[in-house]
Amino acid sequence: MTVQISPLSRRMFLQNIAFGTALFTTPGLFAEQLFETPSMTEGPFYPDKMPLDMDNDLIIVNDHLTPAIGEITNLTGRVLGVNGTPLKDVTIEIWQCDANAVYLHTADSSRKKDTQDRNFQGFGRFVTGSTGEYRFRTIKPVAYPGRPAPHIHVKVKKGDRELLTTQLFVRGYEGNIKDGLFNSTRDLIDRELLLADFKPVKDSKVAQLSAHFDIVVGRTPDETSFHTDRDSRR
Amino acid sequence: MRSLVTVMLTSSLILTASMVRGQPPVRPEEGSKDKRFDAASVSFIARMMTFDSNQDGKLSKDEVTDARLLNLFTDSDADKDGVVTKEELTTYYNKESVNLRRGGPDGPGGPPPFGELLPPPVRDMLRLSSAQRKKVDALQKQFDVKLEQILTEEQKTQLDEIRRRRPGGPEGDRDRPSPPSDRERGGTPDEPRRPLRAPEKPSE
Repeated sequence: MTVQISPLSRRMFLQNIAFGTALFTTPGLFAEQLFETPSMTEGPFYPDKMPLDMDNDLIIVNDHLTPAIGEITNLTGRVLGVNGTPLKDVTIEIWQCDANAVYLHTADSSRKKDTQDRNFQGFGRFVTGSTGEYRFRTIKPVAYPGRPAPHIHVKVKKGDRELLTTQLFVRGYEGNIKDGLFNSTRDLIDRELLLADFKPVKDSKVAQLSAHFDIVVGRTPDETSFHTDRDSRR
Repeated sequence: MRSLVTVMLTSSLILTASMVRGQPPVRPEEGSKDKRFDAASVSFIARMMTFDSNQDGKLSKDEVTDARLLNLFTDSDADKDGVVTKEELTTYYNKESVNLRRGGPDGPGGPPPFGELLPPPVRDMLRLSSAQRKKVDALQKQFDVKLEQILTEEQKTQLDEIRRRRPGGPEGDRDRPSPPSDRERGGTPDEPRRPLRAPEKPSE
């Protein structure tokens, strides 16, 4: 299903900071801290060559008019510390395969040029402000052989310092229970913390679905070792 | 104000801890087949019960102040009365964690046994043709036969033991283990990384 996106709507999306109502997230009364978002393997397909377009809109590459194939999703959330404080100036990166199950990484895409969706950016980046909120526009992830659970890879960094690498899964997707990694979480709470609801959005010209995913990071940014955000290759 | 709250919370925690000691200990049942499984469900319930702010032994929706867990709350509320009891949590855990340790039909049950040349997920990833798969199978057979000739009987028995007891780890699918910079479960840079899944061995 193709959605026609005008460049004007896209600019509105990128500049729009109306993130919507933030849900409360506080620890239980007898827990000292929020449950941390569990980490999960980075996998082999973190991009080896960064795309020219690394913004938070993975549906449109640069000034292309044709959007990516797939169910367009507004992915929002907040990055918080374990005591609930929003984390500012934190970089969130997401990467995932396109609707035809091809990753941007050359190890995957170089042999699949005929099926790769060139209009899918494959990787995106966002830096949080004082509210800790982040926003991406991407596609709902799809399953591929060996990974029956569709997922989006997520990395959280402060400057060059990695705070968390994990994967986000689709709540209610049948294939999840067949996925070895999905089943490798410590318990049901940890599993739940990696799940996002992909809900239909009504009357939107820019997205068909929305998903909310709050991230709680245990490793706090060390202010004394803060580096300015260099344009690193990794 | 914040320090006052901390003091209040700490003192109520101490009070609660002393009250809890008076209750029957939460222990896996004697003679239970899978003590590790029971310990995991006990831990899950304990983690959820940290939201029981009025200490009535059950959870109401507004007690669950972490929005990320509201879906879990709704799913575990079997009778849909807006309250989740420990029994409901136990039932929910037993139902949902069936796949949690073992991996499902399509997911490997654990890392491939030592000596498996190309586990099935890797074969899928490489998109081996059926002719190639046959050749790899033949190679595997040759390898198994040669290894048998090299090892002593005792070593073969030991290898079987090792294969059976090998802890679960990252699955043999497309993804490889995280680089060291990722946060490890409870480990320091000097400690060995703990597997994501509980080890497949009887608990002490």
